[in-house]
Amino acid sequence: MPASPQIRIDLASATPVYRQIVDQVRTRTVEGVLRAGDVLPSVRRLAIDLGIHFNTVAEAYRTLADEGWIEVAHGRPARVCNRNMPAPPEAAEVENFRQRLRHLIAEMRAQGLSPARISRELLALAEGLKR
Amino acid sequence: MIYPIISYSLVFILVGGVQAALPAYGGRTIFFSVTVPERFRETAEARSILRGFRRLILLWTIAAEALALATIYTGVPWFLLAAILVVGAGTVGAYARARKQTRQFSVAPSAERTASLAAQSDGLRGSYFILAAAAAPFIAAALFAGSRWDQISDTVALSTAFGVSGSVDVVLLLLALAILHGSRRGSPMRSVNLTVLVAFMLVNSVAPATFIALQWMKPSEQFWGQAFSFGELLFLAGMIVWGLRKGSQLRHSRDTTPDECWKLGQFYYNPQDPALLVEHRIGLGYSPNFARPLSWIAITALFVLPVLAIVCLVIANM
Repeated sequence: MPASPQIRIDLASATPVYRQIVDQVRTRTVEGVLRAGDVLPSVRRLAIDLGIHFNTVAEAYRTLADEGWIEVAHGRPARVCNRNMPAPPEAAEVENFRQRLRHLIAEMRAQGLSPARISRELLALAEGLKR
Repeated sequence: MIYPIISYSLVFILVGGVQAALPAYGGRTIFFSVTVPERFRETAEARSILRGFRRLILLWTIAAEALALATIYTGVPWFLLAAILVVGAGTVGAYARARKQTRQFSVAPSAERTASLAAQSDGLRGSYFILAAAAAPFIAAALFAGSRWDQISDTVALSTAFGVSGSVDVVLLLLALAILHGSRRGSPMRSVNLTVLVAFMLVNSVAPATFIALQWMKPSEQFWGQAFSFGELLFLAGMIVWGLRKGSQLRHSRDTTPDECWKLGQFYYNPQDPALLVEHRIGLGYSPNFARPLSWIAITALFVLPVLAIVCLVIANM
């Protein structure tokens, strides 16, 4: 039986918990770990498992639904959507993403990762996108 | 009267033994419900705290045994009630004292939490089937034994006396459902706790029914009643030991509940935590989250109201 996808949050992180949930569900979906039609745990279930307030999970699910990653309806479980690919972003937005990547790479180097290691990690991620 | 008291006496010894052994069965980073550094258990301070705790448990167990003996010799039932109170309060007090001593060595628990993103799978596939399989003979045996309740002699004590009358059976079933729905998934201790609970359900239901059947075959032999009670007690003790040993192998430093939420080290109160039940930091079982109103409603309905009813009945008959 394949291991079920996991989510990991850090209460001590500067990133709000609901944002951590959004980021990780989005990442799992993009990587194909979560597929269209997969049922997510209920708000109550995930809140109990993570030991956080219901509203935090509900807010994360609302954000994911607004972004089109999941569909939520009253009385039905949250499901991963078959998300239509949006139109490619403008050049300015691409530049914005590039800036964020540069900041992240700088942070990785500041944490002691060598340029070769960072390069390998980025290449592995890029290979994953082709699957 | 003498057989129930002997049974209580055995229970006091069992409770004392389990309490004395319990601190050895916690996670590596939990000591008397306090989050401690990884190798704290091996330090001289930890060993000294543990010795002090075990001495107090021994003291309270001896006191309870003396009160149980006093009940046999004087015939005054209040001594037995006093013995139960001594064991209960003494254990809680000893634990709270040890916890207070440990808190000076505490460290912050991990702020990381993990959970499954799968809706159903929690490592307990077939859990409802297991529960149903346990509940079916449990209900059938309860109905069978309940209809022949007057045939159970007072030589059969403990779980039989509590078991088939309905109250505790319902508690166990509700508890199993509450664990499935109101506690965190993903912990390896979850299946151990449920297995022990299902074993208790089976013993509390099938065992009395079997005993009644045995009594029909040998109605005059009191020996079977005593042997049966002892066998039940032994089986339950065996299940607890199995659960504790299994738990000590499985339990890692996954407990991320804040130390300050464990009142007296045993009672969990965390308004930020939506869980209804949380795993005990040591040993087996769950603690209700006393910050959830449903916990109070359940405790009132299942324990406080029956105790009040018994007290009222006793006062009315005085």
